[in-house]
Amino acid sequence: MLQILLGFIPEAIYFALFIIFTKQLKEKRILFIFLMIAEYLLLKYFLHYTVWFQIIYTFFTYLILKILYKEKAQITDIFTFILASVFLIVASSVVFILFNLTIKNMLLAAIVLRFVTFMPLFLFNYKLNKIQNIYKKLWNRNDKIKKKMKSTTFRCINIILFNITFYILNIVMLYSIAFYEMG
Amino acid sequence: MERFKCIFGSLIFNIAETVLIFLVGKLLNLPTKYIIMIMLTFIISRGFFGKALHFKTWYRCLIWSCLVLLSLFIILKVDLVISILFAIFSAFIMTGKSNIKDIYLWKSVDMPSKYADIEYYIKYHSLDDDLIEFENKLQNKDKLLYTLYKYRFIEHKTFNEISELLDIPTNRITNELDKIALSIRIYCKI
Repeated sequence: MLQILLGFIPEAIYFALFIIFTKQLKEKRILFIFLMIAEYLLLKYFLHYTVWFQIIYTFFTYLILKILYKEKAQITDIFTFILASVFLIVASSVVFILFNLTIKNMLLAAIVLRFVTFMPLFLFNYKLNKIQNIYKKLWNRNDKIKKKMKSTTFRCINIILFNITFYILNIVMLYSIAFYEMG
Repeated sequence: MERFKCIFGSLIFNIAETVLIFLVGKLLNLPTKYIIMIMLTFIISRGFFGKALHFKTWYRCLIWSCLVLLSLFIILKVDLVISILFAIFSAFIMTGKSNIKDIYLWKSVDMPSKYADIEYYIKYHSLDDDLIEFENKLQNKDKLLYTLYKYRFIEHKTFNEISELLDIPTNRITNELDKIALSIRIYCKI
């Protein structure tokens, strides 16, 4: 129960808020958050600790966006979601390693992690929209406009980040399983 | 002769690039059949989706292709099925099919459409002589422009719908609609 309340539900809310702030969604916010939580819990129930969980969660999130917001949902939202995952991986790795080396209280670590993930989200919620603007500017090829980066290069960077993230996620998951088994 | 040189050069480059990517896979100690499987999945999917995006310089193409395939080979270390699925997804991203549509045309609640005056005029002046004359002239002059006019201003279709119906990119639709908008504003004195 504690894992659901301190782990699963806040994580699902974090992903939902990250997308809401990035895309500046004004409508159906509660429904979107609710669906993200439901999806997260269902997938955790069926796919606990496998990389398939994150893959299906990523693509289902895009599907939910597509159903709720239709044309506002873009393929680039998948990469926005990946950025949210990268931040979560970095934050949780840092917090858990630090706590494991010092206080060794994982319950406290989980609470601190929620602060670390939600604080920047609320502090910089208006800045998150810049991510969306970068995608808008750089994603489509338009040779008439001079851009800082070519569309093809930008897409390649996103693909590489996408693939590497799932590889790292797999490693993190393997360490988590080992960690739980030791504990 | 020039054309032959170009085709020959491109063929040599593609072979060299394929060999290099294959060697990258071998460096990671991956089985040959899996390396070939991933490479073929990526190449065939890209061709299947169509409108493949190409780099303008050969060295950019070489570097980025190697890096993208390297990342797929790394995923291969996790699972073959995931790597194949990601190869298909990556191939899709590297085509024009994954372009963002309507990105500049999201209708904000607070901001009226830039064609609001024209939409309003057409709605309340459908029997106006100037408007009928304009429509007839547009229809006779350019069928595509008239179809765009009809779809956008009479049937109120979205840019996305028009793009799919006429198979033309949304940025071109915007350009053409801007032309129509200017003409109708002048002709009907809106």
